[in-house]
Amino acid sequence: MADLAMASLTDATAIAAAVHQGDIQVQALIEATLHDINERDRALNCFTSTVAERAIKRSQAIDQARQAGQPLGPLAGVPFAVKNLFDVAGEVTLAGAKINRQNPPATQDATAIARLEQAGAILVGALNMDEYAYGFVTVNHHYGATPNPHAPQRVAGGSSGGSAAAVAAQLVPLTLGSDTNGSIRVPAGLCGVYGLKPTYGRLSRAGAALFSASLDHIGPFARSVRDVALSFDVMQGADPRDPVCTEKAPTPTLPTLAQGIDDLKIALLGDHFERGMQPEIASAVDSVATALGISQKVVLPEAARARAAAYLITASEGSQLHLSRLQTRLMEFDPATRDRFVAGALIPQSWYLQAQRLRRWFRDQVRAVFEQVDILIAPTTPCVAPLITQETMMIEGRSVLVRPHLGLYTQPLSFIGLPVLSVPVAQAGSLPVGVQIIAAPYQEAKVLRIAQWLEAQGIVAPAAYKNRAIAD
Amino acid sequence: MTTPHETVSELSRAEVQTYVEQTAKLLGLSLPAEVEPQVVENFVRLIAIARPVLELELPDTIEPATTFEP
Repeated sequence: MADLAMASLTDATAIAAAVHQGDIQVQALIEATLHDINERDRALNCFTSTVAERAIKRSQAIDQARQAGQPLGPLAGVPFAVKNLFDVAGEVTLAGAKINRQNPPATQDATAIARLEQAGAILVGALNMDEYAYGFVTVNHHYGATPNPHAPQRVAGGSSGGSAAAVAAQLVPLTLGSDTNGSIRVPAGLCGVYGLKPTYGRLSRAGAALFSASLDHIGPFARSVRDVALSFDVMQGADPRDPVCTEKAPTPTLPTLAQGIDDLKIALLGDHFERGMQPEIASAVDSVATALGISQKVVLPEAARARAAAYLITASEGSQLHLSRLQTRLMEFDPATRDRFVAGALIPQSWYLQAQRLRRWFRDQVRAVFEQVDILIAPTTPCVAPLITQETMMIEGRSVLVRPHLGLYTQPLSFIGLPVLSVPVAQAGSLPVGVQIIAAPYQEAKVLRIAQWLEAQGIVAPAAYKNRAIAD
Repeated sequence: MTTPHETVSELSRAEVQTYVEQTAKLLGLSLPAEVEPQVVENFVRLIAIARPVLELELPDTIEPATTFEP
C-alpha cells in the first residue's frame, strides 16, 4: 500500500472505515496492494502466490454494493493473506512442501478465510512458512527464506514467518497463521507485530493443513489491537468441519476493548519464564510489568517438563501424519524437517501417552493458578531475531541450538491451549521484541483489554518499518 | 541406584542407531546412508527431551488428554 494516497490508513479498521465512508475505491486499493506485493515481495519473499483475479472480482462486488447502498461488512475492502497451509478454493495447498505441489486444488476455502470474506475482507494471496509448519524460522528449502523485514540478515521467525513479515512490511494489514508451539507468537515477536493464538478450539481449523492436531491453533496477525479483536470476532463460531472447534457461543471482544484494566489481577510468570533471556527481552518485560504496576509473580509448576512433553506430542503426531510420505518420498522433504520427522516416527507410544497425561496434569495445575489471577505476562522469545545462518546461542552460560530454543516461552502455554497475544514492545534502537499476554481459556477479551490499554499508553506498538536494514 | 530413565539416557550411540534401524524397518521407512546419522542424532535429542517427561510420576487417575466424542 506504500504508493497509495491512503498511507494514513494504517490498519484494517481504518481501511474499512474509509470504504464505508466512500473515501476510497476498493478496486483501486486492491490493485495497488497487488502491485505493491509484486514489486516489493521480490526482496521480502513473504508471498508464495497471489490470487489477483479473485481479489479484483471481489473488490468490484464491494464497490458495487456500496454504490447500491447495500450494507458492508466490518472488514469491507480490507486486503488480507494467509499462511499457505490454508485451503484456497481452486489453489493447491502447499503447506510449505514441494511434495504438495502435486496435490489437487482445494475445493473450498478454509473456514477462517470464508468468515473473513463474509465480513468484507479480500484475500490477495498465500504466504511462506516452514515446511509442514515444523520450524521457528521460515527458512524453507523449496520456497526460500523469508527475511526479517527489519533486518534482512535475520530470520522472520516461524513457522508463520511470511504472515508476520507481510504485516510488518505493510504489504497487507491482516494475515492468518497457525500456532502449534509458538508459530504465530514467535514470528509476531521477532517481526514487531501483534499475533494472537486464541484458546485451543476457539477458531475453526477446518481447511487448514494439520501438523499436530492435539496442539494446532489458527489466529491473526495485525498492526493494531483493534484489528486483532475485530478479525478474531468475525472468525469465531462453531464449525462441524473441525472436530475440536468449540460449540460455545462466540464472545465478541471488540465491545469491551476500551473497558480498562482496573478489575484485572495481573502477575508476572516466574521460574522457567524469567530465565535464559537476552537483556533486550528482560527490558521489554520490565517495561510492560512496570506500566501495569505488577507486583506479583507466579510459577507454573513443571513448565520445562510441559515444554518437553509438547515437543514429544508434536514430533509424534506430525511424523505419524506424514508417515506415508516419509515412506515413499523421503528425499523430497526439506532437509530441515526430514530428519526430525523420521526421528519422531520412531517415538515409543509410551512416551507419547505419558506426554498426553502430563498435558492434562499441567492443565489442572495452571487452572489453579488462574483462580488467583486473571492475566499472566511472559516474554515471547528468549532473544531478538537471530541471524539466518546462526545455529547456536548462549543461554545461561551454555550453548543451545537457536531454532528449537525460540519456543522456550511459548511451548508450555500452547501445550494447554491458553489464549495468548504476543504484543510488540516499543523499544528505541532495538530489534523487535514481543511479550506474551496470557489468560485462562476463553478469556481472549481480557487479553485484548490489557493489550489495548498498553497500546494507548504507548508501551506497545508495531515496530516502525523503515524499509532498510538495522545495522547488525 | 540407576533409574530406568537414566538407563535409557545412557544408551550408546550404537545402541540408538540399532533402535533407529530396526524401528524404521518396522515402520517401512528406508533410510539412505546420508540421512541415517542425522536421524540418530535427532533421536538422541529426543531421548534427552523425553527423560524429564517420563520421570514425572503422575497419579493413575490422570488420563491422556486426547479426546473423542462418539
